[in-house]
Amino acid sequence: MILEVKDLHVPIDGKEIVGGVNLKVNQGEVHVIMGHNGSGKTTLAKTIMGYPKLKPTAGDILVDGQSILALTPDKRAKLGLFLGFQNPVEVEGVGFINFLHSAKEAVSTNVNTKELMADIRADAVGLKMVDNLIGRSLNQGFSGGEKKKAEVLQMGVLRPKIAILDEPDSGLDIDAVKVVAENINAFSKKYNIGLVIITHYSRILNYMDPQFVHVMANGKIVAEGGKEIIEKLEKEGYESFTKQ
Amino acid sequence: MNPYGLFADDAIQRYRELPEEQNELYKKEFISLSPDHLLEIYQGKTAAPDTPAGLYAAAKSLFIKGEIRFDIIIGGSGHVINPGAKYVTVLPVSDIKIDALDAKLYRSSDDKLAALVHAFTNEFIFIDVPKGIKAKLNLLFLNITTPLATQVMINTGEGSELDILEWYASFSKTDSASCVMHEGKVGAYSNVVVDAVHNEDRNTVVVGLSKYNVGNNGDLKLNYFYNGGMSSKAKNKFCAVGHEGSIRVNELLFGSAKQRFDMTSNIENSAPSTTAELRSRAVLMDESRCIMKGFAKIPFGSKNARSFVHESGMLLDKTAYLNSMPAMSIDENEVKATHASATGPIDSDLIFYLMSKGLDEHVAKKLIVEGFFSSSIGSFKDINAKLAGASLVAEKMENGNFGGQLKLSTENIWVGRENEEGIFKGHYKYR
Repeated sequence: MILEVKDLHVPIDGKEIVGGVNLKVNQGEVHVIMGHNGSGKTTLAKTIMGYPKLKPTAGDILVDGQSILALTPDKRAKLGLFLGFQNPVEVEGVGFINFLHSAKEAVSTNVNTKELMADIRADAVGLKMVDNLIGRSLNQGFSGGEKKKAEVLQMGVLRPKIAILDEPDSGLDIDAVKVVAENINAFSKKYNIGLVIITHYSRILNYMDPQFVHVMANGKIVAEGGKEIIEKLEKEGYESFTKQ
Repeated sequence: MNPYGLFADDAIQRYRELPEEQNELYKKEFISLSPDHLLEIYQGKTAAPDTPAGLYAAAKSLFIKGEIRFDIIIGGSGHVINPGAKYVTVLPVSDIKIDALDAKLYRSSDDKLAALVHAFTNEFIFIDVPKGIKAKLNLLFLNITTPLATQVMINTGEGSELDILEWYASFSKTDSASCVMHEGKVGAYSNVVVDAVHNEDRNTVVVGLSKYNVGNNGDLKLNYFYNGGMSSKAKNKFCAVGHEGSIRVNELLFGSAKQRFDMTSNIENSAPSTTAELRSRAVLMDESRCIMKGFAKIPFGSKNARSFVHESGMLLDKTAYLNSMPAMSIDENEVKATHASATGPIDSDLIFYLMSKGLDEHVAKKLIVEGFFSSSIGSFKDINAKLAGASLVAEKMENGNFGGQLKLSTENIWVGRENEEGIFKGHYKYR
């Protein structure tokens, strides 16, 4: 699977938040998008997933050469896209397992419930999730870190072809960052998932091996390259890129 | 003539004279019962009145999968077709000596709606559970061609326990009515749980009247699910009259296909250290309307009373209407009391979140609605009421249907909440 974003422009309330982004992600690759607050990273991620309130005014989003702009979010998910939310919403009364079961049935065929439950249990153990966490309502009463782990768990269960993870590290303590990063790596390798990691910080990248790093500022990708960009960011901050 | 000294015509005339029935604005906003229409329904001659055989057959066909054994089946005209259940006495209304009944709470002079319902009642069901006894009763209120009107009186002795499942259904092909009046007296240290599920068909007008008093350290839990009926009017009053008496009312409404609901529930802490809670949840769609009035009263002298009224609603489309009005009247200082109300359209961010994981919009909405109702349905004590509640929600979300046969399915249903272990604890269970 290949995800392509071509010259994408997305306004919010008349102001252009994403202004001409180009991005190409192949299944199995690991990309990182870094940028300061308000640079347009989350808007880009949500637009790729089809958030109805974000309407591109120009450009296109393609999966395997076909535009997906007209597709609803569920159809994009069924193609193999996944969005791990920066702020996962709390869904009252909807059991986490019930939701995962429904979602798995939506994106896969011939779901074996027993095998699914065993997978969930194993993945939850790997992510060091509290035992009763996945027995509760979806994201309800979860701490910030627990919500992030729950998003990664969903990725492991749903096994998309390309996953966009919006700040999977924010709100996590030092140990949890490592656990989350290791599990993202493991899922990516095991299921050949392409990754787009959106983050402010380089800490999580200490445990990952991205091939492509993109820096976003003011709605545009202002720098691209390999891991050397992360080192530059650490030394000089985002300002050095926004001045360019 | 009924025990109130009223003929049906008199009762209707008196009801018609109520100020709210004269007020055009009230009639527009609330559900006007149209007593003349009720009289027409109750006095109309049916070609084939409900027979015990027909009612038994209809009761057996209520559920496509699964079955509930009913101890008491009340058919059209309020006639009990299977008398003889333990602790239950069925009397013709004309035999009742009201003043002799300790649990009598309604008086014709102060409730004309009760008098109206009573005017159509033929039989009277008296459930009397003696001191220290545990009892479980399943009641079916079922009308086919004959409209139903009946009166249930509950009296529990000290330290007794009574669990009641009430199922309301109708299979009427023409305009019909189901009017049921409850009066209950929960004795000292007695526990009473009533799970009531309304799934009448779209030809039926539903009237529900309830008054309960709870004695010292008594505990009353009422779980009501209004899913059926074309228009439903409920008027309830629950009083904790004894020291440390407790009342918890859990009310669910799910409206579709132009259904109308007019629900009034009053809770009252009439004694010190009492607890009264009213939680109402409504989901409405497809031109359905609901007026939800929850009123809590704490009179002077009810020190250390705790009172809570919470009403919340979810509108699935722009054609649905909900007016929720929680209110309190507090005349005592040393109390804890709070009320809350929250109503809004279904959250589009929730829908996006679920859709982004692969669920189509309809399934996403269904999950959200099931989730909204789940804690309330989980509060039902009777396992069949839990199953039925969840099945009814699923059925209505699937095709907007209500009434008729129900598939009692355990698939995707919240069961075994208390018993499951490990990661399934407190969760939906899959087969």
